[in-house]
Amino acid sequence: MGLQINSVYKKYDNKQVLSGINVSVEDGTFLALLGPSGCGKTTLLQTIAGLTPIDGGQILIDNQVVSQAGYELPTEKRNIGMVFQDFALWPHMTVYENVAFGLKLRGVKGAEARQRVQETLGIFHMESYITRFPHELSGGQKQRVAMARAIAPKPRLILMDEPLSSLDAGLRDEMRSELARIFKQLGMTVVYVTHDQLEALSMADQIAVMRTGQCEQYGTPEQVYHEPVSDYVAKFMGPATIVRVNAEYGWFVRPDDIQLQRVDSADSPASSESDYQTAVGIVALRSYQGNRYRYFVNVPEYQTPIEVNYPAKLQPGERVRLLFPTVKCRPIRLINEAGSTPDSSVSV
Amino acid sequence: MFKSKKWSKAQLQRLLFIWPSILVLLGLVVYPLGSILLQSLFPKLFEAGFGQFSLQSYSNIFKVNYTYKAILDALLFGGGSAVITSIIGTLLAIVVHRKWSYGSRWVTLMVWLVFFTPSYLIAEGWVLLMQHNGILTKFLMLPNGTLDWFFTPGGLIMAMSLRLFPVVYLSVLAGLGGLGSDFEEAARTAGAGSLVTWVRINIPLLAPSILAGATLTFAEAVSDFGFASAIVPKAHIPLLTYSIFTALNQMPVNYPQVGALSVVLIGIIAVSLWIQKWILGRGSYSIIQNQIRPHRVRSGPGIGWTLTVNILLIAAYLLPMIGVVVTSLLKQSGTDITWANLTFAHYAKALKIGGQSFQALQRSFGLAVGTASVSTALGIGLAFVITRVRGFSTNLLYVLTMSTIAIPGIVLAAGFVFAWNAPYLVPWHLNLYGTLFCVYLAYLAGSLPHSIRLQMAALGQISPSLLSAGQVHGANLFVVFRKIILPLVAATTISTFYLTFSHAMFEMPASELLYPPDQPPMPVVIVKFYNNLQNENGAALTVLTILVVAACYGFGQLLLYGLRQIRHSLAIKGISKLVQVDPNSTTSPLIGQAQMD
Repeated sequence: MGLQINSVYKKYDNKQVLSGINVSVEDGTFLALLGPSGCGKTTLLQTIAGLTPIDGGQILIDNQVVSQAGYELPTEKRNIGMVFQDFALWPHMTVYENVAFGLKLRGVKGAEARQRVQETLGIFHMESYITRFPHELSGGQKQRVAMARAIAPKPRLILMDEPLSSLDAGLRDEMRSELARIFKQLGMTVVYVTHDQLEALSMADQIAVMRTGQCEQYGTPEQVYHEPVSDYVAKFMGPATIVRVNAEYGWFVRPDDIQLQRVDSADSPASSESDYQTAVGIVALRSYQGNRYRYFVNVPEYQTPIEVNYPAKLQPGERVRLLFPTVKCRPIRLINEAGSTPDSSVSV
Repeated sequence: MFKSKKWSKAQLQRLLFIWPSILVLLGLVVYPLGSILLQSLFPKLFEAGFGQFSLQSYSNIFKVNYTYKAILDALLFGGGSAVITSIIGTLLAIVVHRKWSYGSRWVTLMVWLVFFTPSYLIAEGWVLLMQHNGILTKFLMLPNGTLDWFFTPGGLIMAMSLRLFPVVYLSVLAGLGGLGSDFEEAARTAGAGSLVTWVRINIPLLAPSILAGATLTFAEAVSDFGFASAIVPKAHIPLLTYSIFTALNQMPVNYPQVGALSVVLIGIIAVSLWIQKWILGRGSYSIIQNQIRPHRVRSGPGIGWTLTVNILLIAAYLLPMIGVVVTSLLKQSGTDITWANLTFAHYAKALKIGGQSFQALQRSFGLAVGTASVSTALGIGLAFVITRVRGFSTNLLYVLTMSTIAIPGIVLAAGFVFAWNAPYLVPWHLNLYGTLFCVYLAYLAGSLPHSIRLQMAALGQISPSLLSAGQVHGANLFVVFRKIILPLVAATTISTFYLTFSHAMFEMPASELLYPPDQPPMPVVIVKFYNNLQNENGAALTVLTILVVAACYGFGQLLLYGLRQIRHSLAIKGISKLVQVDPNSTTSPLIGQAQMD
């Protein structure tokens, strides 16, 4: 077992930051901790690193208890690697010295250390920058060195704290796929903190969606996207229409899954009426997305507009029919969390 | 931070390092200050213990004309200096920041020189310049008495302001850095002219910086002993710091009066620093700190401003220094300034091996190196502990450091007289008063809080993730300290060492109050020369000491440069054995390192 987090609690002053979180991953898993700021994901990462002590529960790495109430295995003895949000490359050391730092402390010296540094930098195509200082590197290059530094000693666990957030958008996309490929090749266990659901969906094997110090849902990217357990997860993973059934439950559907038909057109209703729920509404708002249009449709039965995508241009005020495929409409728990995307939620 | 079952590292750290340090600070700073306070409340403390409580000494200092006037004068001097430095400092900061004058590097250099030159050197320079038969009278062939205005409160306030304006300058410069040009441009678009913009927009926005600098100036002026000791004997104006000195030199010593005066002095400074903190803490200051876009330079530098700035700098620094240097070269002070009257004889005398001056120089050098070494080493360790380890003991350490940082040197020195001369110390042979070791401890007490604070500021600049990164990659706290923190704060640590060293070379109040009669440190000898009307000998020794300090600085820089070169050529050799150096690299690592430093 790679990493086990068993009902971990952490309190800062009077604020409960982690309240009984449970996550375990197998060796070689890329785990994304996903959630908005303040949900406790960075604190959780810090407790795994041993930079923050925990109040209750247990953390195990390779079946060894590294944290529990009153006991913390010192960070430097946990045999982990970490990539920081601001890279944290030591400015007084060259690229070589930065990467060799952890190796030397683990007793790897001389020719072997040099070779390992070379190899690791080679993975990130940074071997020719070996004599440079961090301030002579661009943001993306620093990022690669930080990654190389973390994996050079071949730790049993790699921790990453929003490592791509300080890069610009284009570079971020590029690094996303490159990193996913590299870590898959190396077969390392990775815990990756992010607030960007696209990053989590595209890179991770498993995603833990966090909310107020707890794991709201744990599963594969497909599971958390298509089968969210609550409106919180549904809205966090992407645009969603949520229809309330009662105070606690409702159902949800992604805008892409809703079919739109012009009422006055000759489009025939769907093949089998039983596969769909239908509703008729009026186009309220239109916004151009490049490859399609996004519409908000007012349906009299629902209080707020329904978000739907459609390739053709419709005029506001046009009457349209919406078809909700029954298999895509899933029941979910309602949390009524404030601060999510309210424009796409609908109450009946 | 790390807990384990028996003795955790944190507990061991506390036991072996933090608590002993707290004890050292308690003994060096709190105990002397405490005995001052108690002495002022229990006049017979050392004879009768805590039996006799009385506020008599406080009512006395306000009844006796001399001490009462000394307190009023201190407030007047502080207030006057605060007003004048506000004007000079703000104006200079604006001129420099907006690049209205040529040679901003020169201005920066001169301002720092004024800032770091001990005040009694500058004060003595003014005295040598302005007194009867002084340098200025002789040089301009003025009749004696023409410059007597200098030895009035007005003249003193002027001289003190020229010494202290860098405090306001630096504060306002920081404020201007955050001001940006948005507010100003908004005013211009609303139809305001240049003058209106400054008076109605910029100056009010800068007010917190100006006021914060002014209150610091006030505190500095009130607690200054250098000016007092150089000028009071000539001008006969009572001053608070000097009255503490005279009360200690009376026979018999009026201990309760010293205590009461010291407490009043600390009180005045505490109030002014509290006001400064309050000003800086107000919300309005953060408005201008959030501005990122820098000011756009519209008009280039002009001759008029350049002249004004240079006249100010010459008056503030070069003039008094010329006074000292010329005096040191005269065969006898008071004679006409002609080539025939110039000589290096006083330098030769001062450098005579085994002579009084030479021995004093040696003694002060030893004391200063000792003070700087211990204070810097202890300072970096304690600063690290305070910033990294949380807990009661580190909080206590922090509070002790911060609350003792503003204690005037004369008060601390007076405290040492009380504390290490007490009768109950005799059985333990702890009567350190009158030994060179006591002088050393006083130097240490005065410099340690500054050393801690300077290095705390440097440590605060290091992103915590750099340290976490070290730990995560296998370094324990000791390795993190040695491999990451120390190299990153090395520049500050070296400056701290040098500042402490030069400060100790010129340390005045503790030297004057605590020196053993047969082993005077350098500042005492200089003052003796001046008081015995051997101005030229005093001046020569002053210049020599400055040269020694400057030479040490130069030597230190050279040494560092050499070490850095060696370290890098070794590092590069090591790496390039294995790989070819990146051909696209535009800067060599050596240049890169130099830029970083």
